[in-house]
Amino acid sequence: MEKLKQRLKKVSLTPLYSLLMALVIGGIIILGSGNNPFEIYGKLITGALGTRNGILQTLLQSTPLIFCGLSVAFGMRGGVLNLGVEGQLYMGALAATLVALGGEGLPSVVLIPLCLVAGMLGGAVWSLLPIVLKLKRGVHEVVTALMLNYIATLFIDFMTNYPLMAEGSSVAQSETFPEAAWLPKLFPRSQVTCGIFIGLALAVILAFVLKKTVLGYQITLVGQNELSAKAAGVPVGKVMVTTMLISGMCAGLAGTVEVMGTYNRLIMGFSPGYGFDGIAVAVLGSSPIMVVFSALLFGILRAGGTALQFGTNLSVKFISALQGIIIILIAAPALCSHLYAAIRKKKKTGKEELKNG
Amino acid sequence: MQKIVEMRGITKTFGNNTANKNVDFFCNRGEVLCLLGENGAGKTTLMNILYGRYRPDSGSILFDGKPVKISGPRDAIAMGIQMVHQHFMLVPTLTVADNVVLGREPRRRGFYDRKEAAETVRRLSQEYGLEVPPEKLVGDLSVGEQQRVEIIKALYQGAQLLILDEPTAVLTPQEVDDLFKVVSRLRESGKSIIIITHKLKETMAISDRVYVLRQGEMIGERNTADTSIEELSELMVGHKVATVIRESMEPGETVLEMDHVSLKSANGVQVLKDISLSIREHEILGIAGVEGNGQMELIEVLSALCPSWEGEILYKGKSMKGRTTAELLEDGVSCIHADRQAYSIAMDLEVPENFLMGYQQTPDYRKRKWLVDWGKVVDKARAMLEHYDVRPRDVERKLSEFSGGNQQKFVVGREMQRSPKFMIAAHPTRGVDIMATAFIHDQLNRQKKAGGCVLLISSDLDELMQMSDRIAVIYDGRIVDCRAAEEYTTMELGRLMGGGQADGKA
Repeated sequence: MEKLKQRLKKVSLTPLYSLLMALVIGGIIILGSGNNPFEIYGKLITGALGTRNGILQTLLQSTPLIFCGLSVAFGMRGGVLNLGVEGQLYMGALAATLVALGGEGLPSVVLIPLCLVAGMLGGAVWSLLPIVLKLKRGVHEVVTALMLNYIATLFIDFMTNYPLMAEGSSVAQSETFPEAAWLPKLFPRSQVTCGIFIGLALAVILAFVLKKTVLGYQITLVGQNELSAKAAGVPVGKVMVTTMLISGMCAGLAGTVEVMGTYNRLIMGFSPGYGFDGIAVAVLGSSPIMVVFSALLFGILRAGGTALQFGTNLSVKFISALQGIIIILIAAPALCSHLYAAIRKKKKTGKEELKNG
Repeated sequence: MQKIVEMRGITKTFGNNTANKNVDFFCNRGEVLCLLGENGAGKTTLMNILYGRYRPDSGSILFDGKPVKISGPRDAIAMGIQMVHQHFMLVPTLTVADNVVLGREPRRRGFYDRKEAAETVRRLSQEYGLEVPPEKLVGDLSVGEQQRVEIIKALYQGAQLLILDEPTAVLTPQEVDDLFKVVSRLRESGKSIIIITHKLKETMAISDRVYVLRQGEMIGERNTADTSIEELSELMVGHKVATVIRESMEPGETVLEMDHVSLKSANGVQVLKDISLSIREHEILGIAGVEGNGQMELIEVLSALCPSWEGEILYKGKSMKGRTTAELLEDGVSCIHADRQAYSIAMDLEVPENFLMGYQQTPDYRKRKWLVDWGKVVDKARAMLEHYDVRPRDVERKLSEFSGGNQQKFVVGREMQRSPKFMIAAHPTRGVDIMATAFIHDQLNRQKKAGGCVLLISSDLDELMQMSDRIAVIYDGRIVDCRAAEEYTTMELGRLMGGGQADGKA
C-alpha cells in the first residue's frame, strides 16, 4: 500500500492539469458560440458514455488510436520520432489485405494470425526507410516519414481503384475478405471487435518490454541520452532501428485491425488521420499503459463530438479544436506547471497569512 | 575605510534547500575580498543576489550606506556592480572591441564608431595591464584572454565593484599570475573586487580579507594577514583533511600501449598528433594540459567512441582497432568522462537505471538472458550509494535530483565497482568538495594497488602532482613531455601546458 502511494506520488499530474485547462478554455469558446458550456460538456459525455451505442462508438474510435498512440509513444521512448504512422498504417492494412484475399479457404485460426503478422511486417518495412536514411545519411526521420505518408496513402488509392478494386463496385474498395479473416465481433449490431483486446495486450507487452527487458532498458537509455548510451556500450544504431521497427509494427497493426475488424475490406482513405491523432495520444499518454487511457479519452471526444452534431449548433470541428487546445497545453508543460506552481504558492502564502494573522 | 556595499541578514531558499541563511557581509572600497567555500556552500547564490539575478527571501542590501533594492542585473550595473561569470557571456563571432561596447556603442553621426570602440578598449587594457588585441575575434582567443575581455567589458560599463566567479578555474598558472597582477592594479585604482573561490592558496595570495561560507552560513571572517591555509581549510570543511600522498609502487606489466596514434576530427583538423604513451600495472599516468588540447579526443579514442584513429593501440597485448565500447567495458576498461551529464548519466532516469549503465551486458544482472534482474540491480545500487557515500541514499530518485558533487560520486562509484584493469579518469574530482575529493583520490590509489592502472586527465595541477607517478603534458594534440611526476615543478608544468619549453631546454 505504502509502495503504491509512493508510486502514485511520482505520476506526473501535468497532463491532467492540461486537460482541465483545455476544458476551461474550450468552455470559453462554447460561451462565445452562445451555448452553455456545462450543457455542451454534459451532452458530450452522455453522447460518448451515456448509451450503449455511445459506449460502443467510443470503443470503436479508441481502438485504432491505441495502436497509433503506442506506435508513437514507443518510438519517443527510444528517441525516435515516428511521424510516419499514417503511412505505416496503410501499408500494414495493404499487406494484411493481400494475405486475407489470397488466403481464401484457410481456417480462421491460421488466417487471422497470418494477416496480423503480415500487417505488422507491412508497417515495419515502411518504417525502415526513414530510420536507415537517418543513420546512414543523417536525413531527419521526420521529413522522410512524412513524405512516405503521402506515397503510402496515394498507393492505397491506386490499389483500391485499380488492381484490388472489387468487381462491379462504384467505390474504391477491395473485395470483402473471406469470413475466416474477420476479427470476431464482440457485440451484436456493433463494429467493435476483439481488436481492442489485441490493442490492450500490445500495451501490456510493450510496457513489459520497456520495464523488464535488456532491450527495453537499452531503448530507454538511447531515448534519454544517446551519448551516454554510447559510452555505456549500447549499440545505438541497432537499438534505434529496432525501436523504429517495433513502432512501425504497432502502426501496421492499427491498419490491419481496422480492415480486418471494422470494414472487412480495404477502403480508400479509411483512416481519418488516425496516425496523426496517434501523436496527440502519445503526447498525452507517453507510457504504454497511459496511452490506453489517453486513447480512450480521445475516443470519448470523437464519439461525443459526433453526438454533439445532432441537437446543438456546434460543429464537430469544435472537438478538433478542443483536441488541439489539449495538445498545445500538454506540449507546453512548462506553462501549465508554472500556472500550477503559482496557484499552489498563492494557496500556501494565503494559508500562512491566515496562520500569522 | 568606506564600505561600498553591505548585505544584512540575507536568506535565500530554493524549494527545501537553504542556499543562504541569515548572511551578513560587507565589502570596502579598494579591497580584494575572497568568498571562500566548498561547492554548494552558497557563494555564487549570495553574489547573484548582489548582482540582482536572484531576490533574497529576506534581508537588506546597502550601497554606499544607503538601502537599495536590486531587482535585476540592470539595477546592479547602474550602481557599478559587475559580475564575471564562470561561463563567459561573449559573442564569439564578434571582435573584442565589439564585445566590449555591445549595448553601449560609441556613436558618430548616428553610426557605430568602430575606431572609437577599439581606441577605448586599447586605453582600458593599457591602464590595467589587460593585454588583448581589440581587432581579434573573441572566438579565436584563449580562455584567459576571453576572461580579460570580460573584465574590460565590466570596466567599460563603469564597474566600481567587480565580482569574479571562480576566475582561476580555467587558467594556466601563468595566466593566474597575470590575472592577479590585474586585480592588484584594479585595487590600486580604488575598485573593489570580490573573488568567489574554493582555492586556499590563491585566497592567501591575493585577498585582503576573507569570508568563509559553509552550507549557506557565514562561518567566519578573517583578515588574510592574520590567518593561515590550515585555519581557512578547517573553517571551510569543518574539520581537518589529510591529503592523499602518492604511493610509489613497482610497476607491473604494460597494460596499455599507444604507438604513434593520430586522429583527424570530422572537419579535417588534426586533433591528435603522433601520440605514443604506455601505462603499466600499479601506475597512475597523469595527463596535464589546458582544456581543448586533445584530451577529449584521447578519451574518445581510448574508450572506442571514436574509431577512426591511425597508428596502433595495444590493450593487454591486443589491438584496439575495430573493438567496440561494449567489448572494452567487458574487458576491464572503464571511463569517468569529463562531462558527466553528457556522457555518464541520464538525468531523468532513476538510480538503478543509471547504475546499470555499462553493466547491461553482464550476465550478473540478467535473468533468462534477456530480462534485467532489477531486484539485484537495486540492491547493488543501494550498496554502492552507501559505500561511496552518495547522498541522499535514495534509489528511487532521479539523477537530476542529486547535486553535482553527488552525481560525480555516483559515477566514480559505479565505474570503480567494475574493478577495471584500465581506468580513464577525466577530471574525477571536478565540482566535488574537499572531503569527496580525498575519497575519490583514495579510491584511485586503491585501484592502483589492486593491480589496475589509471589515466588521470586533469587541469588541476595539484591533483596531478599529488596523484600521478608520471605526468605527460599534452599541448595542441601532441605529447610535449612525459616524465616522473617529481621531476616537474608546477611552474614548469604550467609553462609546458601553455606551449613553452621545459627547463634546461633552449
